[in-house]
Amino acid sequence: MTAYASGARCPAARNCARAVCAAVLAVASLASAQGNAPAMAITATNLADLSLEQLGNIVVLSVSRREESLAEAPASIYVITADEIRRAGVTSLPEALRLAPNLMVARADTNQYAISARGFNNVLANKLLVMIDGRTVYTPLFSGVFWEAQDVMLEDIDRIEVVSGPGATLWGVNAVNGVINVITRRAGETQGPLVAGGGGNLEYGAATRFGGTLPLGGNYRLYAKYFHRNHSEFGDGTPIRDASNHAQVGFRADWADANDTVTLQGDAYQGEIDQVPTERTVDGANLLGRWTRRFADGSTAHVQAYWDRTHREHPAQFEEHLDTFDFEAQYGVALGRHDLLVGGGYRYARDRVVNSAQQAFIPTDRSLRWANAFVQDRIGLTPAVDLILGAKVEHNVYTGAEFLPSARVAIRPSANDMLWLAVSRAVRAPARIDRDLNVPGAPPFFLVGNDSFEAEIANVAEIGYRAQPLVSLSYTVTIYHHDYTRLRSLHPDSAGSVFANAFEGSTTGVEAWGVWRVTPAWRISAGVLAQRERLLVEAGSPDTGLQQLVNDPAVQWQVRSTLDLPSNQEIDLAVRHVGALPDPTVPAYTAFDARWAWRPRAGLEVSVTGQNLFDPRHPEWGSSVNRAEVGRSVFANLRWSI
Amino acid sequence: MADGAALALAALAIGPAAAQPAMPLERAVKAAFVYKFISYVEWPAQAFDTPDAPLVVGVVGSDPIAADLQQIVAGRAVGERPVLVKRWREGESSDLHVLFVGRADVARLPAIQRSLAGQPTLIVTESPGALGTGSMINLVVAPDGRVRFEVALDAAERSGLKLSSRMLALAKAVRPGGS
Repeated sequence: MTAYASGARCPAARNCARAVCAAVLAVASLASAQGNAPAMAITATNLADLSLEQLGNIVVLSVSRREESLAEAPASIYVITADEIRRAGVTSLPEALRLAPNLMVARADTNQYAISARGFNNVLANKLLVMIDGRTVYTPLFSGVFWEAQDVMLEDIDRIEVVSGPGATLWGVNAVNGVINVITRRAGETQGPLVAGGGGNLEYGAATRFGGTLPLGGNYRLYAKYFHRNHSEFGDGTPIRDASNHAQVGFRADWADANDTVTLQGDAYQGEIDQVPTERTVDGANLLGRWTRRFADGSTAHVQAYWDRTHREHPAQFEEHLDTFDFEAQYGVALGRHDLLVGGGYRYARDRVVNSAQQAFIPTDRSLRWANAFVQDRIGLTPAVDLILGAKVEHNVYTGAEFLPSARVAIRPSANDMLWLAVSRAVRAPARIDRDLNVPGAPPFFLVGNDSFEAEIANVAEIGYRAQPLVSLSYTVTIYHHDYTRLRSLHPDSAGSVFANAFEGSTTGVEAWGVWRVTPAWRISAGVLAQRERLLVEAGSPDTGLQQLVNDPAVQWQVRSTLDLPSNQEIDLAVRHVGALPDPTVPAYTAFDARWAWRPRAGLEVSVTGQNLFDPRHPEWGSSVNRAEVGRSVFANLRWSI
Repeated sequence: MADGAALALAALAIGPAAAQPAMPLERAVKAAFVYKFISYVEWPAQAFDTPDAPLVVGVVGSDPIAADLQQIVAGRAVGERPVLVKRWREGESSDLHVLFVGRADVARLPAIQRSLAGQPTLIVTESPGALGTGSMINLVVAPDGRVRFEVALDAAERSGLKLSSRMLALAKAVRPGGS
């Protein structure tokens, strides 16, 4: 999409006429991504670092879709733990997501990322649902995420759940190829002061948080953070104007007693990102409330509401104001062998765009509404076999009601392994870019909005197995096959091309990872992803855009080692390999990262992290004409808490 | 006779639950609780030969929790003391500072207590109703899906153990002691 591309990429394309550039990038939004899987990453060893209070906060039995014990979920799920994030030495949410072997993460420049699961990766990837504490952060402009605007206090993250594969039955029309849920700690687990800060050759930043108690058994925390990232470079070392600043503040308050849990949280942020001709800005705020009640009969009810405002201005390209209001409710009850979950939700978004000479969203203002209802039944057929049937109906303003069913079977031959099978239907409903975008900003249009663009459909079959054959060894393997129809294409027409639905095909792949605790102080984890994509234009169709629809590596893998040394030192090493992208060509790369940390006393940690150590710079995304390359980085960090 | 009655009671209370193996996360959380409890308990001086003598944790009736505990204690110490975890059987050495009795063996709690021969041993269980049969700390999964613990101060005091008031403040329920 043109808007997204307005940073380093498009202005840097000095040979690229603006309208053409915009259109090419609009077509580039025809992509989506790949990857996802589960894990048994929460180990007894990690848990022993928690306090008694924190241990008492861990939910070990399912009470809702959000808190289902993930080791038991019949889906491809990888859980990134707080400890993994700390030990990777990463400084941003997208970099933390590289830890999930079932995600594809490519850095496009200093601020922009392409992130997806199971292929279709793109800076405008549109088949992945991303939430922060249950708040959806996708933009209805293109059904994807502006990663440059999403930040959290990394020190307060509890875990990041990464599901690859469709989650549509529970999560709706954006969860075609995967779901990411970033979950922060309860306020009671982040008490007292914390100060963290650091700097290196590519960035510097600082964050602080304070947590205390509230009346009626509640806790709160307040945080503030700031970072500056330096500009990136072209392959020849020429600087790209994409340096950025981001400041964010927020809070979270939790109250809990035996039956009720209430959460109130909010954030506000502002960021500036350098570009040609002048910097683009992003700012926003959100407020969320959540209430869970457990009734005497063991059933649970959950209601959540939030408001989210975002604003972005790309000088000479577009400006957007988006207000989102979301409400959801669910009820879970066990009736004999049936574990029943029913729920529904409603979201209203008002999107107001200011157009430019380059492009025009017509109409400029859209009121968008989504309403859904779902039911899921987990049936205990035998003590070792569960059948999970679910369906959701979701209504959107573009295509009306969409039906999103799934069926899963979980078989547990023993306490230490599980085999699961699943079939699902998922849908990507149109976004504003699919229906409303016109290029350039006034007639004659090169690209014209198309009111008949339909939803994209995925029918998915998955088989997974995970096991812990030894106390020290666990692994997961998932094989999947996605069949797609009505994928987005560009239909040529002398009166102006339009987005249409002429691509179809399939992706087939395998995701696997495991953890081996070699000794109590040494852990090795590894993950691999291999995928084959076969996509074709419908017979007889003149449509184009396939090369922008998919541009994914056939293989990627990573190996990580975490080692505890005497005197409270840690050494962490990682090797990541991503295969070549076919078109536009991006060479395969292998990145080596290392981190050393020392805790001279409780609560104080000093660390130094090096990334891309054996590689001055490499590209991860984009055409060689104008792409940024990711450079070697060294970052020193200090973290202090009581 | 009293032992026999207690045993029958424990078997009644605990029988059905024993059929359900604990999930991996539940096990790991319980193991972490057992390890954390050590810091909140004061043993009589004669329970250790030297200031840096190891603290010994026995586990009976749950090999998975023993394995999780072994992972936890590797490379960790409580104060000056290293912590040893061993799978314990009735009749083996009773020099234990902590004994975790899993669901599979909780019905044998009275006999296990006799086997400990009055040693100051903190007995931790994971079975509803075990508190009245010799357990000092009982881990339970509350209706909200979280692991909580209940404490029998009387049983702990009889063994010469002092439990920190900070731990008692976090307990779901406390059976009062004599002092």
